[in-house]
Amino acid sequence: MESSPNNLAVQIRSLRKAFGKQTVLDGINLDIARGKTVAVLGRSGTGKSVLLKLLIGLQKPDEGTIELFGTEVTNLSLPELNQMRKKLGFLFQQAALYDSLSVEENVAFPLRRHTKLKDAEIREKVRQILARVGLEKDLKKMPSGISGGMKKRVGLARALILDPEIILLDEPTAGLDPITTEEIDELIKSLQEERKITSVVVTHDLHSVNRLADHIVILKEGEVIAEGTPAEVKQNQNPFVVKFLESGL
Amino acid sequence: MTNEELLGKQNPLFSFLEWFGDLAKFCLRLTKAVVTPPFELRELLRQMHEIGTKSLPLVAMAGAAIGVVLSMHARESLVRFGAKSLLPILIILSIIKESGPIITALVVSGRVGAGIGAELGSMKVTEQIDAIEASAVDPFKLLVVTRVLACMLMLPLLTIVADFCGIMAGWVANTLVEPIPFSFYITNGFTTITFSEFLPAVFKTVVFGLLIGIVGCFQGMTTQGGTEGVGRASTSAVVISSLCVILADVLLVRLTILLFS
Repeated sequence: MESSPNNLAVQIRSLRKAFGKQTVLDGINLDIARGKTVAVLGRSGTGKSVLLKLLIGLQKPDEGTIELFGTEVTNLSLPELNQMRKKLGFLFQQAALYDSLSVEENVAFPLRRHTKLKDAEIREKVRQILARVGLEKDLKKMPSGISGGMKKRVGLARALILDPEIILLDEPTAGLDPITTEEIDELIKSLQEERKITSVVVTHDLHSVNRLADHIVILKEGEVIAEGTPAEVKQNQNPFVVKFLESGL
Repeated sequence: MTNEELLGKQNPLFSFLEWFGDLAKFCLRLTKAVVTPPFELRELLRQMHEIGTKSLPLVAMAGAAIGVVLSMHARESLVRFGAKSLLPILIILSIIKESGPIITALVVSGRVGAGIGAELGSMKVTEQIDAIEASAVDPFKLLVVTRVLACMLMLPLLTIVADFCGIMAGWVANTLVEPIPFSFYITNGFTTITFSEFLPAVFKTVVFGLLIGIVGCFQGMTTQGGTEGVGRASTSAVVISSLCVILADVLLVRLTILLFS
């Protein structure tokens, strides 16, 4: 993705990560411009989720650098990293809602930890974002009492509550029926347009990619084998890319 | 061939040393986290309620049961040797010095150790701990420090409750067989008990709490392998913490004798 350095939200250089003998990412280079949506595709186990966890500092790379808004983040101290994390939102694959907290408290968690807002203000902000994701009537429900699609919406609301500049979405529609998938995609798209958030979406769903992505990255065996706009990637003649795109549609 | 391959990943000695090394690193991180802000006081109070208040009925019943059993066993033996008047001393001394603390620790180890192992293990495998970290909150301070401190603070209080219930139940059991005045039972029972006997016995449970908290949290935070791993974490938390409590008791009793006798 060509862009001036000042316009870049994410800049990854020579990123390498291995678990034991298994190399998951092998020298990845990637630039993501501010406000754009990048979809990361590839077969299971090719390091897509690991890439997201490296971006937010949940894992450390073996080699390479990651710059977020021009700041190299792989060597930050924990307090510095936590400051950076406040600019990022993360929607986990299974939503990762806190079992012991209600929907309302799950979404309020980052606000209670990082703002000095009063209780009433927090409740109002939570109510607004839950209304935006269509769950304003489910504030008091516990995560065990809501469906998979609702969990994803709550996870999305929690990821957005601090108004992040980048949102990382790990398979936001995995395991959902086609109608709910489309609803979630529309929701993500409209929220991105409203808030001008830079998004990195890991997914296997090519319909979601068509709806959401400005830019596509395809990983194979830890390397980027195709990259570009959706139209450019569709023109790619690499046999793996052709097969991947055909089998997914 | 790497050292790991030479030693063999499945070698029990290698696994034990690896586990022990990880536990040592965990304890070092805990020590650092306890003394550095921010302090999670709200969560600490919540954990004190979860670990302390909710263990109260179980600990009280276990203490009372020990009092009754001690009364029944001791009466039979003392009557045989014509030393029935020593019964209150025997019951109260045994409960305060040993039975109360160890029974409390084992009951809490079973209830709380398993609970912590399962809760944190479940949070680990469902990425809830990663979610806390991604929210720019230190999960170690929020989840581990609060639970370990709550165990350390609540164990002595629970021990006092178990002691009280044991002593009262011992009197009730004794009175049902042969009524003795409560004032005589208490006065007679406490004649040989001094603070130098009571305090070490209660305060050694702080160490028991530390062990239960550390083992439960460590097993939970290092859970691997889905729901099966959660089950393993829960079981191993109980087994290891109970064993640690019993072994620590041996050392602490010896230390108490050296320091206070």
